Amino acid sequence: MQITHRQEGDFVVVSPEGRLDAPASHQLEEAINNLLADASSSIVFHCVEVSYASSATLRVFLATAKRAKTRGVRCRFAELTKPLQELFEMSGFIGVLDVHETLESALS
Amino acid sequence: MKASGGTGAGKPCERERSLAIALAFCLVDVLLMGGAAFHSNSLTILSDFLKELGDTTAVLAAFITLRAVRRAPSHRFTYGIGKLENLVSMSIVVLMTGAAVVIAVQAFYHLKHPVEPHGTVPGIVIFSVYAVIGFAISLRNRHLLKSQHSPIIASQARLWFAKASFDALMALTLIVEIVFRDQVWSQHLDPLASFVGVAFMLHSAWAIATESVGDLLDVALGETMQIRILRCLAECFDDYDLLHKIRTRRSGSRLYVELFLGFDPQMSMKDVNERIDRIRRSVADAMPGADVTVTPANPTPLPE
Repeated sequence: MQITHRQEGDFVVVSPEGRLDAPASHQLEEAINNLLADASSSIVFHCVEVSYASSATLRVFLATAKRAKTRGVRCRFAELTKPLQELFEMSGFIGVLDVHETLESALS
Repeated sequence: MKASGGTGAGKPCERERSLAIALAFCLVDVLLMGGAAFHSNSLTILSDFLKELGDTTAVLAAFITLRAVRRAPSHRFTYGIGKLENLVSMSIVVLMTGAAVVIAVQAFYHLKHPVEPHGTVPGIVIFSVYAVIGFAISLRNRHLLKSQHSPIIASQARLWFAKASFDALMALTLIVEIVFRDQVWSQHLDPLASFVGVAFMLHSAWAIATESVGDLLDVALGETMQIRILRCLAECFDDYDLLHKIRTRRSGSRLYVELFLGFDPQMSMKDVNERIDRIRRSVADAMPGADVTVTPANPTPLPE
C-alpha cells in the first residue's frame, strides 16, 4: 500500500494505491490527520489504484467526510475502482458521500 | 453519558432443544455401544465406546452451560457469562483431541498385532443407524447456524459431522472385514479406517479452537457485520459530527457494538439523546441480538 498526495488548487489530492487492509487504514488515517491539520484544505481521494478496501478503510473515509463537513471544507471521492464502488454501494456511502466519476469533475 | 439497547440472545429454547436431542442420542449411544463392545472382541468397537463417553460428557457440559448462560446478567457478571460457551467449546476441543489420541494408539496396536474380530454384527448395525442419525443432527445444527451464531451450536455441528462420518466408515470397514474375513489384509482395515476418523476429529477440533480462541480474545466482528454498522452510520450521517472509533466484540451468541461519536458541544442534552437513540436503534435493527452503546466522545479541538 502506498499513499501519495499533491496540492491541486484548493484541494489536496490523496492517492492511495493497492490493498487498503486494516493495517493500511491506520497509515491512511495518520496521513489524513496530518493533511487536515491545515483547516483550509479540501480533500479529494483519488481511488483509481485501489484494489481492495477493508471496513477499517471505509471507516476512515466516512470519518474524514464527517470531519470535513464539520469544518466546512469539502471531501470528495474520484474514480472509484469496481471493487470500491461495490463496497460504497453495500455500505450506503453512495448518495451520502460526494463521489465523482473523474478527478477533473471532483476538482471542479 | 452512555446509551445502550437492542438486546436479545437469539432463540435459546431452540438451541437448548437441539442440545437436548443430541444428549439423548449420546446417552443411548453409550449404552448400546457399551453392550456391543461387551459382545465383541473388537478393539475398534471398544475404543468407539470410550469415544462416546467423551462425546456424551462434552454434550452434557454444553447443555448445562447453555442453560446457565440463559440467565440474566448478575451483579458479578454484568456482561453475562456468554464466554462460558467458548470455554465449553475449548473443553470439547480437549476431549476430541484426547479421544483422537486414544483411537490412534489403538490403531497402531491393531496394525502391529492384527486380530480377526468376531461378534461385530451388533456394532455394524449400531454404527450404521448412528451414522444416519448423526448426519441428520449435524444438518439440523447447520440449519440453526444460518439464523443465529453460537460457538456451541457450531462446535456441535462439526462434532456430529465428524462422528457420523466416523460411524459410517466404521460400519463399512466392519462389513468389508466380514465379507473378506478369509483374507489377512482385511484385518488391517480397522486400524487404517480409524486413522481417517482421527483426522476428522482433529480437523473439527482445530476449527472449533480457532473460532473459540478468537472470541475469547475479543476479536472484532467480521467484515459483513462491520459494513452493516457503517451502513447505519452512513444513514444517520447528519445525526453526529465526528466518527471517532468503532469497537466490536462477541460474547457467546451476543454481539457488542460500541460507537464513539462526536456531537456539537452547543447542542442540548435532549437533542444529543434523541440522536443517540436514533443511531442506536438503527444499528440494533440491522444486527438482531446486538447490544449497542453510543458514547459521545470529546470533540477534537478544531484549529482556528
